[in-house]
Amino acid sequence: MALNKELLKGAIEAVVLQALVDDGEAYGYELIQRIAKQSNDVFTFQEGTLYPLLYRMEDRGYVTSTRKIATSGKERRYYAITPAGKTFLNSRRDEFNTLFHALKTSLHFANV
Amino acid sequence: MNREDYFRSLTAELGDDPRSARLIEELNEHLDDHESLSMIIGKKSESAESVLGSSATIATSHRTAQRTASPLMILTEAAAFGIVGTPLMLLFFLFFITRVFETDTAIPLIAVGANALIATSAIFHIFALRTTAKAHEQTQIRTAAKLMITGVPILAGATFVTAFGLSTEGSTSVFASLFAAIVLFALGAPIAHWIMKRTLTADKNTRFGRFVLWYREHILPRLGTIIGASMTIYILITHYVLSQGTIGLDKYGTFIDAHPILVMLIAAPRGIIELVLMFLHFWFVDGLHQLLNINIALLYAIFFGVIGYVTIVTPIFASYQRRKTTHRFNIPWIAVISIVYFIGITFTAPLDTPKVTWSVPHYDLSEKLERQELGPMYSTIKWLNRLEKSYSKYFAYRYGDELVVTMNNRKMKVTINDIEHPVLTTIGDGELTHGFFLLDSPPANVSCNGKSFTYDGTTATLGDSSQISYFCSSLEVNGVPVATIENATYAGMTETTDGKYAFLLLSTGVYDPSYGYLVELPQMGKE
Repeated sequence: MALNKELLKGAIEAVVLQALVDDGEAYGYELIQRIAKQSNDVFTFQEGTLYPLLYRMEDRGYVTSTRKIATSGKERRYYAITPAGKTFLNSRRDEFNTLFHALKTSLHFANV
Repeated sequence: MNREDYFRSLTAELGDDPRSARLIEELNEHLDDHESLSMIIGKKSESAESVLGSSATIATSHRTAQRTASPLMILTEAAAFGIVGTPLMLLFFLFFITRVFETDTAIPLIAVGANALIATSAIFHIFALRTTAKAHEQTQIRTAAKLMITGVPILAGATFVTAFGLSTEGSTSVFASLFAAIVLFALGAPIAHWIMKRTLTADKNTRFGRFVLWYREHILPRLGTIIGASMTIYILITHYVLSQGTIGLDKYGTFIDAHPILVMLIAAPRGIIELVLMFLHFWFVDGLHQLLNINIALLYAIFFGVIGYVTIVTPIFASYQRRKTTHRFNIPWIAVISIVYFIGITFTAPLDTPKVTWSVPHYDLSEKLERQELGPMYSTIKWLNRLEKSYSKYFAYRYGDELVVTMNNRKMKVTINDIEHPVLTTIGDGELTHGFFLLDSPPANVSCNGKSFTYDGTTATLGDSSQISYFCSSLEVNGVPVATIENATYAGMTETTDGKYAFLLLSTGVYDPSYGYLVELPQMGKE
């Protein structure tokens, strides 16, 4: 499979979408915490990255957002993944799978 | 940078997007959530800098100062109030009793006692206020010091940047290269001198010892001269001797702090590591600063050999990550020498100093990155990456529209008109004549101990450019020393969209025996 040139950049989108799939809708700060926890702090997003990303994905129809009352009692904007987002996520997962296997083979990781 | 400025910088990226107001709203909520969480768990808000950028440390420091002073102030003020207030209340109470019971006997004693208590309380009050003021003053001093340091534009005006990819032999050229590539991309340095420490021979000193010696003798003085003595503050190299063991991702992840510009290189003799550049982009850019966000994913657990090196490239002041690393790995703390720092990088392209860079083998990251993000070295590295991807050991030589290379002692030629998909063709030795190579003579302005690279038919009988090799101590371009070396081999000329380059294989001693370098020939300009 030919890899999309934007694949690596798209990784961040996949990670966010996956977090929304795994644990359901979330607002921005919650989402960052969730992703950091799930990845053992490997993926740590800053809000300056996350929100514009969420907006872009909203434009593409991958996520929707609604204002709701959070458990803290404060109103927050919750983001949820859409069917289109799930389709996109699955596509990216396949691409990453291909990339990782290609890297593993090309760089001889198994024989190091 | 205050919150409003920070928000403005972010919303500016949205352009005319009507969601700018929404972004500000969400950012406010986000930071409120962050501060709430920090207060709940009592965690130092170390991410404030990362949240708002380095310059935001100013505002953060002030807030920290206020927080630091507040508990003590409250305590002392409360104590002072209690000491003063109690006798006053007692005095009023006794005065009330005296008036109610119409007796005067108690008044003198009450007055004396009350006055004594008031005097005592006044002393305590003064003491308390002095303590408070002193604490506040100390906090201000610390804050001021922090402001001074964070106010220094790191690498401002830098004309020389060194990045070290430490590894042990046979282990991790890939990872060192990855590291080198990433840092190179990140820095976009006009001059980047890449050194891969790779020593195979045993010596009375340790490899690290020799490396440190070399670093102190050759690197620090240059940094001090070119960038200023303070630069040594910011360039350190972290070295660890690791014990045998396996580090799982569950432990690994914990020491990668939530900082936006943390890059790590893990190298080990038999490292089984997969690093993937997840994304790299400029998180914040203005006229003076570039804040680069580099995220690397580590896919598997890390296996360390008996001796290995871990180079951690962290932001300045990120001693937290280093300490936590040693703690998590339970490894002895040997030395802390290097950190490469990314915030506030402003480079001044030198006018007459050549560009020296280590050719980055094996790992082609360039296709995954956006062209405009890669800085002035993009095309050079791209060319090198593609070249190296195809050839494990090579010399390169330009001939007309073709690039002639020697790969594993086999002569190949590559049509460079289609460099996206190089076409390799074996060419016979008979086609390689003296005249073939002499068509593009080595540049006269590149010299080794003052001696220009010239082809010598008496010694280079095969007409191979690799035979133009000198043992010397100083590589010069236009008479200016650019590298301390032990041996230089001219491997040909090449050119990119950035200009022409002399392709040299340099040995800088035991630390760097055989890596290719490009020496830019600035006076030749672009074609």
